[in-house]
Amino acid sequence: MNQNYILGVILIMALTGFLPRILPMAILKKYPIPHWFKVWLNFVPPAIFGALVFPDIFLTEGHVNLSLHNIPLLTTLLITPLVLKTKSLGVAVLAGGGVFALLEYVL
Amino acid sequence: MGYITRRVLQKDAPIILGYWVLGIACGMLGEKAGLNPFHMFIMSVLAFAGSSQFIGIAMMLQSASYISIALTILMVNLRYALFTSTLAPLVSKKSGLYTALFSYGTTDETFALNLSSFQNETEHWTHKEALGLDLLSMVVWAVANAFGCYASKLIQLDLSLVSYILTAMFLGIWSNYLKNRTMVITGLTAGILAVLLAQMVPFKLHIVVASLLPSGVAAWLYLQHEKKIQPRKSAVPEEGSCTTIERGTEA
Repeated sequence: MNQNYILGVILIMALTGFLPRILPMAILKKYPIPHWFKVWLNFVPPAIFGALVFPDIFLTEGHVNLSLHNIPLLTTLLITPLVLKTKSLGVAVLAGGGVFALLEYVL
Repeated sequence: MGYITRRVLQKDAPIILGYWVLGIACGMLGEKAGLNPFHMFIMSVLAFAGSSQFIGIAMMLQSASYISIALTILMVNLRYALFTSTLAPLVSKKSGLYTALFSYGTTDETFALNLSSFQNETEHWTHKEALGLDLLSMVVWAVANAFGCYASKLIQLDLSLVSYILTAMFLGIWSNYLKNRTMVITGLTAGILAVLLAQMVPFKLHIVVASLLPSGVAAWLYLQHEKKIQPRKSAVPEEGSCTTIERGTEA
């Protein structure tokens, strides 16, 4: 592939990665954050991670998939009690990877 | 000194494990698109963003235009603006260089870990450790990307398993934020909305839209409720606010 194209895309990735991160932090560190904004930010993480997890487990190639062949969904249903109990990233990765591989092998 | 302490290593261990697996997969995808290990290393250091690198490389494979790649990745990365807004008060006394590095090191995973560590007052999590955790994760991510690109002909990777590892990381982080009924309802609503919007909204915007709407409604309801209880004073520490986010996320 064209070297210039590759380097151009890398540059785009750097800019689109840097600007959304630095601008809010650079601006908001100087000014007191309004109360309503703090309250709102407080509800953002539970929403954002829900919005990241659900499409991953319910959609297969862009379509809702509730069948028994949906291994990501089955795995998530199986490990959710454990993850909610431990609230641990490590447990989620290990249990998720293990159960997923097992289901792939069995199904 | 004091950047990479023992507890930084302990807390970062699950992230390192996840980034190693995902980074190798991302590097292998890059090799398919004609990138070399050096490209992958530089890209991972400069962009340091898992999902946008996967998406960017996939778009390179289709020879997409600069503008559509830029717009798509910008939308996917907008959530980082919400994360660094949340972290901003913590760096109010830090230098511009620290702010730049710390904001750049913010990902889904490092954000969640640093925020919960800072908020646990008994822990005395330092700014050096926070940055150390970011940079260590970044180095692991970049090395894994370069290695995956280099070794793509030698290893066989189950790509569906790899993409599930990322989902499992999100699930692990999510579990730490589901602390009360309001947060559970907000999270589930956002999830359902994201599934519905995924088919309708262009440029991968569904994640941002689906998280801003329910969180906005929850905040509005909360503020109304707050006004009713305390019509005059608005500076009451809110339930489940930044200061009460419990420790979690560590393995």
